[in-house]
Amino acid sequence: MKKYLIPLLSILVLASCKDFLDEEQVSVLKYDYYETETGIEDLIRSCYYPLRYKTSYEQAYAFWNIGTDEYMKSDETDFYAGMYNDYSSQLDPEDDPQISISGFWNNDYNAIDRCNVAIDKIPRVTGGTGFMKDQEGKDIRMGEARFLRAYYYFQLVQQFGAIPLTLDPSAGLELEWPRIPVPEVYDAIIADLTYAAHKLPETQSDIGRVTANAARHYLAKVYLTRGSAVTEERGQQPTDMDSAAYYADLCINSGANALLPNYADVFDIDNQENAEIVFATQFNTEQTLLDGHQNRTHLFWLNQYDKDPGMFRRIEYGRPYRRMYATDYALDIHDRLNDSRLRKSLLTVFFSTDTISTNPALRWTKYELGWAFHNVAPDTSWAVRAPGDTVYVRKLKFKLAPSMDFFSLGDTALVFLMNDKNTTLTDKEIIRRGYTIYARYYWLTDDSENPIELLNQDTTITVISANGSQNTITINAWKKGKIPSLYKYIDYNRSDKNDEKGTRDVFNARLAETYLISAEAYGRTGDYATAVQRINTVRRRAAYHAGEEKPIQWWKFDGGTPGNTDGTEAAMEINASYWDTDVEIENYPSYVTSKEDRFIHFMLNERCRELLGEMLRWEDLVRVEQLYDRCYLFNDDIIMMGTMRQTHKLRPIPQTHLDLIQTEGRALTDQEKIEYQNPGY
Amino acid sequence: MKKKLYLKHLLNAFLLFLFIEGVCFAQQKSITGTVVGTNNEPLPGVTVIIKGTSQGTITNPDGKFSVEAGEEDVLVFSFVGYLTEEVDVGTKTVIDLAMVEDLIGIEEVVVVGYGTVRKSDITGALSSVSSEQIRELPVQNMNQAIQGRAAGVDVFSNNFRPGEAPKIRIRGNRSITADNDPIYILDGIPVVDGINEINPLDIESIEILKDASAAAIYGSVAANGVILITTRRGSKDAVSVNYDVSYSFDKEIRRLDMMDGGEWAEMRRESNRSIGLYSTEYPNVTEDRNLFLISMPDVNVWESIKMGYEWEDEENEIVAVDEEGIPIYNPDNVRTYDWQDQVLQTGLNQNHQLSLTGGTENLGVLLSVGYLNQEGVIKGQAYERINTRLNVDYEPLKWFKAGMSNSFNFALQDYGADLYNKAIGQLPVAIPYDSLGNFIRNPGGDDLIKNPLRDNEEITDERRIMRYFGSYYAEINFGSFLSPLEGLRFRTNVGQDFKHWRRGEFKTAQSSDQDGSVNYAHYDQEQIYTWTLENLLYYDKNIGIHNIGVTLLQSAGARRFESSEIEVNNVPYESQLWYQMQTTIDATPTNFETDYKRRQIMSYMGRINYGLLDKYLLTATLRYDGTSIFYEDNRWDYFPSFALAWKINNESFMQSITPISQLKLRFGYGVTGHQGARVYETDGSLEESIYVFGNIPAKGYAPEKLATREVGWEKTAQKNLGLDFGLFQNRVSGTIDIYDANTYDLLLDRNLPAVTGYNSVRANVGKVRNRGIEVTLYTVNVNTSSGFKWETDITFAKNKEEIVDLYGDDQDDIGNGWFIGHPIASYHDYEYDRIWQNTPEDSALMALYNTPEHGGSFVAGEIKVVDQNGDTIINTLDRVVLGSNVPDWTGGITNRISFKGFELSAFVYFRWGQGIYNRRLVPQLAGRYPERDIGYWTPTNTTSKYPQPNRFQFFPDLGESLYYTETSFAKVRNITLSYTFPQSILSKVRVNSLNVYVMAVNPFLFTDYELLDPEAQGGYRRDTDPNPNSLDPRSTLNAMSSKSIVFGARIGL
Repeated sequence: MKKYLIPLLSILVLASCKDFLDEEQVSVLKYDYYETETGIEDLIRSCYYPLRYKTSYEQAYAFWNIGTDEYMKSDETDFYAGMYNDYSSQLDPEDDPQISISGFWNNDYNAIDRCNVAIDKIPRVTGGTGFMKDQEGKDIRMGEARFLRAYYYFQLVQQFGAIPLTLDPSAGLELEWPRIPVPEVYDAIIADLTYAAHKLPETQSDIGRVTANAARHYLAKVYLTRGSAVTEERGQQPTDMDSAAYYADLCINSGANALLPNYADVFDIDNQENAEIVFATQFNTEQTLLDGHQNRTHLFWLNQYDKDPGMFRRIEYGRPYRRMYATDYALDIHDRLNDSRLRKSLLTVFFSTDTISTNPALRWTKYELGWAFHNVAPDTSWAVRAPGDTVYVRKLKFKLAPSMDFFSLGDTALVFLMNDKNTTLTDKEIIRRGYTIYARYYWLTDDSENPIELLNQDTTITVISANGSQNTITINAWKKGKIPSLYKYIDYNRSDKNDEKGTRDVFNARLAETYLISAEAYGRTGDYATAVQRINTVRRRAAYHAGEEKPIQWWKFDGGTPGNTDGTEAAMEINASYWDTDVEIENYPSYVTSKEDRFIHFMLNERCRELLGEMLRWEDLVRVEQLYDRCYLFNDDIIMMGTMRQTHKLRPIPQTHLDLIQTEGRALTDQEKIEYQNPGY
Repeated sequence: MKKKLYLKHLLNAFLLFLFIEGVCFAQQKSITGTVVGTNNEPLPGVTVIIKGTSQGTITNPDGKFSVEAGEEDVLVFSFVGYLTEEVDVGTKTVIDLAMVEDLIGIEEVVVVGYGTVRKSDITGALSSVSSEQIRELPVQNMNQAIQGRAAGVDVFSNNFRPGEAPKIRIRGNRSITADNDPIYILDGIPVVDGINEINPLDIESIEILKDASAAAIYGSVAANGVILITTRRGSKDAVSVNYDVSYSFDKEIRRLDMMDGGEWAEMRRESNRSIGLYSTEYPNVTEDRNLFLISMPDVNVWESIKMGYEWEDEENEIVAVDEEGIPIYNPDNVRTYDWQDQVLQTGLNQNHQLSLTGGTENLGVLLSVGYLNQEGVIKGQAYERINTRLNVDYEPLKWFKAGMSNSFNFALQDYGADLYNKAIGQLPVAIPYDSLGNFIRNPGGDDLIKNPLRDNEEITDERRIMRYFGSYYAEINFGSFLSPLEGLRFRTNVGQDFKHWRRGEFKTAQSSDQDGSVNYAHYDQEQIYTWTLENLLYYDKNIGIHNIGVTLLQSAGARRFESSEIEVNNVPYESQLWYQMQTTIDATPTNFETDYKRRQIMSYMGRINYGLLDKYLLTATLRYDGTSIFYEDNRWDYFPSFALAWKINNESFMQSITPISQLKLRFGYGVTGHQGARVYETDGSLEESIYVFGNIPAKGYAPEKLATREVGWEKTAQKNLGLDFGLFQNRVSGTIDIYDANTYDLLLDRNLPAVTGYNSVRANVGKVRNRGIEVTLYTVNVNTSSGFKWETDITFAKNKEEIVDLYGDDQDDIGNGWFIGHPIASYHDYEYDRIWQNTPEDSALMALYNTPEHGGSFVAGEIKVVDQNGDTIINTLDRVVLGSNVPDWTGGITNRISFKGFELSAFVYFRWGQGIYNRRLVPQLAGRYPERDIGYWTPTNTTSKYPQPNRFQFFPDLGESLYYTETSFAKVRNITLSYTFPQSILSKVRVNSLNVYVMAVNPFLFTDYELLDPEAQGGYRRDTDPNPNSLDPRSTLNAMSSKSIVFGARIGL
């Protein structure tokens, strides 16, 4: 007791001193940390973290990809983000849907405040000894902060329209936040990006830090976006397209980035830091660095492969959340004979995973994953197994139902036939396959296998088995949940098959898009010749190259011939007369009649072909003011629901914002809130 | 050892000296006698003192005494629980006395802050719980013992898991963002980190200071009320040894009634039928095959379903049909697996306490050892606790005494896996093991439904707590050696509280959480050390009719916290649990962190008690507190209070009104504070931000919180008016209090528009008001001369809690769910109306909603909510405050009937009109998951309140209107029959006392609530947080309340 009493009593003596109650903040950093160079470096690094929000939950597709002509709902989407496809009444700011609008809003404004603090503090660094020891270093860091601020504002203005604009560090209790017209927001974005494009270096030693090319790409994109306005007032200038072309070309010609020869290589998980990537949100496999906002994109574009015979869930095929379902439009605008991109983007063949052992043979290469039929000889597997054979599904004994079969590890077990109306199988052919087939189209036939009806949905037919018993069999067509998976996000470097924490970088900008921005800018000024050059660069890369092995489905359904390894680059090229007339595969809307309009819609098609599922589509359609019209042409869910309105080109302002802001020192009235809110919400 | 012997000799010498002194000065004659109690039982230990002296003796075990006294002397007999008697000696040499029981213990001394007062002199509102009341129930912790015993003290469990303690709210919630837990004062020392480790059997008394006039002497920590706990002390009696033991057998009080296999299968069909994906009104094999085999790839489900059909040829799946061609199907034949049965068990609970008290004239010692071992009603949950205590009071000199209380406590809690919640998440048509006995990982073939039945072995979640409490005092009585200083005392108190909490968690790769991937280990520990030092100066003086007491205090204290935590995946050997994490195959942890917090407080306090003519009483206090957690300009603040009391029954005009034996009117006012802020907030803070550049970690620091230099204490000003009364010789006695507490300067995280970059800033804004009435009543209904006695205790409390103001602009804060005029935890949502019906009227009405402009898409069978503004648009403007978790009133009734050693008692606890907001109340009718056995709307069953199953509606549209329900309950907490053996039998076996009892705990629960125990589901998960997203019904489902049969005995040697 004495041991304690003495120190305690001595503290008592100190009681009159003020120090006893002073806080020593051992475990917490305070704002004064930003007065140091290391503090500001830490602050700038923290400006990158909010980039991760975009893919951290289902907003990845909800805000950027679904509810377009390219993607609609799959069978599990309604549980989460169905309202973002259908634009139904659930897309209601007052309820803040499950895919939170305010979460997105809050993230970006928090990010902007980080940038604002950094922009305020960087010039005050004195006596730096590290990267910011000289003016050049400070300018580069300033360029990063201003780029990121512009990036976040660009995200916001495209989704919400006029928004509050703040370029200074937060003063805390600020409650009056009027909406700033879109032109002023674009002015601020362009000012920041212009600064960044001029101050940032061509390369940074830290991978993922913003470079000059990233700033040029986005500056071009911002000009293109502003100049694409038709009826809207974005502050567009006659020079916007020239500016867009100028900065896009600067980006292309700088030499800092280059197109990869093969389209599939761009999405190689083992080569994420490839030359084509202009700006990517960074992730890696270190678990402790995957907290907070995570990359969950690998979940959403997958099909339910793991419920079919012979298939277990495996890390290589991913955890299928089944949110995204490609539209017929997105599948049918491809010249699949010459254009390899769709087949390189979609995973149509699944090998049996019916084992719990970890067989290294099952770690597919990117080509097998993305693309092949591979280890099944074309026609030998058309044999029929007799009912009554024992098969194993999920380790449980089944009597063989005619549509089920026994699989060994690595056998072809599940195939999605990406055919069209002219290249089909019959129902009987499908039954005779030894594995599960989901066909886009197939013919219902009579007993003599004469075609009766072309179908693109399930049907049940009765077959008489060898022993005379009748069986009903379901012929599977593509349907929600049962479509090819998108290869681009598949991530087998996660810790476990069910782990949601993805490890892949998120490609925000790659050089192929820069080419398409440049092409569109030139085309819009009437310089179709240069536009064609840019487009053909992208399309030649998209072709099959000489010596390249082509998938079985290519000669089965796309019009190819077995064994052909010729290149198709020449067939992919177009020329300026391409937009003089309607071309069937381009599937232009009927209201597109002029060359100028055909060009714009062609660019939308080309962007869809090149950038399928890359979370750019929603903003593209809004940019050219085509969201409403094209959704009602190509998005079957929207056509069926009929709840989408013209005003859905803007997201609702979060209700929490309306509830918290003030005007003239008081909260907004209900009427003022309605006036502040985007129309239609 | 030698030292102790020396001490003993010294003590003996000292005693001898006193005795000799007694002999020298007491003269005349020797008086003997026997003192007996109410039932003519001899009373040992009665103090017999010659009035005006300190001379006297105590009665021996047979109640006999012997004392030397003169004829002029008066003998004073006193004994706890009996009225003090005075007898003139006169010519008597034998004085036999039958002492009268003091029915309500008016003269009891009651512990108040920094001292004691006679109960009749109390000026504030205070509730007491005695050790007898604590022992009436086999409670595991102190909070349980208070439930229903003290009016205005609301005790509610939100977690009945072994080792968890219920929460306490005194007179409602005050603080919106900070905690609302009262402060505990254990043997004089503030305890801030919970009191769960204290053995309730070691407690002598609990006093709850409810109003501010009483609590304000604890100033800045007292806003939520103060609970004073006094542990038992050694008496100066002869040695006594007591052994208390009980064994209890526990079963769950309720379980959820889930759909059986046939009911669930039909719900799944209906969820498809309602959207046109199931073609027949009756079950058919073809579509069942799709529903239960193709899309549920677990053949056992299909086997279960097939049992419902009558088969023509089961091999080829040809079903028997009736004359109309409809398949013959009986849903009762569908296999149902009772998953709940597999995770529930009968818990055995045992509790032992051995205590020894004893002492000499100047030394009192208590030694006790307690052991509690409790098994949960859910497998895998358990709690074990060992308590040891040593309390010593030593008075070596007339003017000096010192003492200490020490308790060391060890507790081990097996927290258990998420078993019950997962069990009720299993499909009734699925089975856990296939016909070959193989474990099925995903019963029903659904990836999100994982078989939990091995989890009580595969998942370990062990929490260990080691806790030491110590308080020490030394006191000098200056009056004893310097008569002018009569009444002046100086006392120093020192307190220490050390708590070490450790959680080890391990999940094997095969556990349902890890689902066959890799194992997981987690280690988390916290050390908290709190010390308090108090210097006190007392001065008590009677000057004629004036009775003055002055208390001065100076104190300081600090709390230091540190913690560490680490998580890894994939350790090589599962047997090593969390003990060798560095061996992880992954080479790095998935998470690791450490933390540190420290705060300091200093205080000065002065108190004056003044009594005039033993009729008029005044207490006034002023406390001045400083804390480290505020910025220096706002660090110090004053907390004043005063109270007045009028003992009306001591007025002369009352003497003729004989039915009134006691009457006292009290009024008090005071201001108390609350350290609502957290440490390290005043200067703003930065938060770590993670990122990578390529593979290089790129951590940074981002602004986290704005600086809050302006904030200070949350304060509560409270007025209290009380009346204490006793009627008919205290056959009826009780207390009534009314109060009005206004809390202001609430520390709120004031929400900011996110555009500022911050979500909120801390500020002193907002007001909350609590008003209420409390009644405590004690009656002796029957008391016959034959010894039959029936007593009743009643407590009743009603509190109205409301937010008066938030940000000064009279606006509700919908985002946080705070509404002016409503309690803090109010529930705001759509109001359920009914189900849309397939009638022409409803079709016409629906058409008004179902326009593109109005955005509705209602169909018959879906939920209709009340369209509050009648605009035929259902949007958030139609949400209203439905209610709150605050009950209308709470109360308790205890009845005790005793006769010749037998006692039958029963305690009923009431909680009336509380709101519950629980997601589980809304059925999931998408046909994917199991559900409670509820009816639902179908075209042919249109009266159900639940909507039609719909496969496309994972959650029923507008289902949130069913989150809220208002419910009440009455719980019979115990019915106890006990028997105290008579002395005549016990003396033959050399036992002092023996009491045996059998008790039914929680035998009856009366409620209309649909889920489990309504006490646990009041949405209190985060105190006052009404956000439905933070309500996790799993926590309560996994901690079921139980009913028990208890057998116990109390033996005194």
